[in-house]
Amino acid sequence: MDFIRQDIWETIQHHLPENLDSREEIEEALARMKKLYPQYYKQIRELIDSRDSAARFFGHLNQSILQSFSEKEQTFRKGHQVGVYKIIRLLSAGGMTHVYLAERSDGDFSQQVAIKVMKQNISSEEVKRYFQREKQILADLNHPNIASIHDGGITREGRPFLVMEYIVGQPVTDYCDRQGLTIEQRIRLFDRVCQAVNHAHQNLVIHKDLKPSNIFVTEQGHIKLMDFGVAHILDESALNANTPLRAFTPAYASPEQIKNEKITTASDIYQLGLLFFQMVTGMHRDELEERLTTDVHLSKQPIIQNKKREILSYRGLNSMR
Amino acid sequence: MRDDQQLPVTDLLDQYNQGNQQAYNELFSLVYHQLKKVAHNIKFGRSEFDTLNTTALVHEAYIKLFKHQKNNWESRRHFYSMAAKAIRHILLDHARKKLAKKRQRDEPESPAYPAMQLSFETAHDIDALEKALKKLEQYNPTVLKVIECRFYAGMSIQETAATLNISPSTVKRNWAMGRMWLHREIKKIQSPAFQKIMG
Repeated sequence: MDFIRQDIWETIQHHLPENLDSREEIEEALARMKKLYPQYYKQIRELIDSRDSAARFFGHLNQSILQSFSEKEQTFRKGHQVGVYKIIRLLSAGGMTHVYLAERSDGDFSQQVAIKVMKQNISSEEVKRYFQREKQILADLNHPNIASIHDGGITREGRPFLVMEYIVGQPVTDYCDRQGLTIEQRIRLFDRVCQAVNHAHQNLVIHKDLKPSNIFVTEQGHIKLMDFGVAHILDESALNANTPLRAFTPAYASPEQIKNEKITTASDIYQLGLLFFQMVTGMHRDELEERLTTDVHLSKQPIIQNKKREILSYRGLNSMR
Repeated sequence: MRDDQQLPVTDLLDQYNQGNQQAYNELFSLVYHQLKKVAHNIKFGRSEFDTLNTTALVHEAYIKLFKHQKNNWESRRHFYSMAAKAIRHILLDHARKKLAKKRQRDEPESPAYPAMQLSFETAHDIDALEKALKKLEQYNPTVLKVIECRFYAGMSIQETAATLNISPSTVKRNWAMGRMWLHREIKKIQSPAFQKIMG
């Protein structure tokens, strides 16, 4: 008889171990079983001996289930048609979107673009109209330091997409460190970023997701801000489609984003502050906080004073002097 | 007024229990997005891989639902264990669809929700787990409920104890032995000999 059957289980369960991490508890329980219920001893011993592989099985299953939500989402294959463009390959995958490298397929001229496609389908006509209207505002935003949005639309599958200038370069913070820029050069670079943000704000466009990976320096050394206003248009489309998604990057989120409050230009300014801190110290804010809580020596002194001395030397930023 | 639209979760659960497809779809949407959120957090390494960790969903739904009412212990317990079962069925449904797809080849993606991309291996495991759970259900419904609360709804030992009205020690033993028992059954189900008999 199987020991798990209710009648048997009721009788023997009080002798079974609660905690399978305790060798002692297991041995005691098995000794009791052997004495009191020898007829079930063998199958229980066998089960307990396989506890690690059982734990692995459930742990693995769990992980696979969760991963099936976060990864391997429907991506377009090479050659897939999006508007007048043909997909070349996947560049990156974010929380709500995929970004592809693509080229025009109508033979007009060969120009490579980045296409950002929302993972989610939109069926509501109202949301589709909203998306078409908004994408025009972004397309009208012209600034040499802002990556342009060429076009946008809804794919055959019903997913909104935006066609953008394809930027080859590296995140501004990486660029600063690799080039060994001085503080002054870093500040000058940051100033260009601010001017671009200012231009967008004057045109009533908020970025909402300013962070190093959205601010590139091209091979020619030009600053390019990517995804201007894109977070907003995608957020709103998702919200209008009535799904509880709202994307932001936790490490660079402004307080109002975290609290899910109204986002204004102040949110961009906050993120510029975080960026500036990272550009001149080589350290992310969270890293500073962590260091302040773990490094007693550092936490006893005024942070500002320390910022200059301790932290600059911390990351080996000797190149900056 | 998004809040209001999500209110009748118990109604949804009730209707779903009666086989209402629309209720199933709405419930699925809720569970899907919560799992997605949880999955996202996993990437940052904050979560243990012990249980599915869908508790937040269940809590959230419960709080929204009962915020204007006096704390009704019975309905709370009922709600929690139903939610666990719902999650189990949603995952199974997806696993079976995935396995069916293997035979039919690429079906067009459903327009309503982005598909949950289970691998065939995972789909097979979920399917085998379900067969083992069915057997367990006949043998011992209490152990089964503990597994549902812990594995599918991601409840803690304490929460499971409160939901099922049993002691935390009982939960621990049921969870520990139940998992190992299920694993043994799954190995049997997935063994080549068994597959041959079942065709």
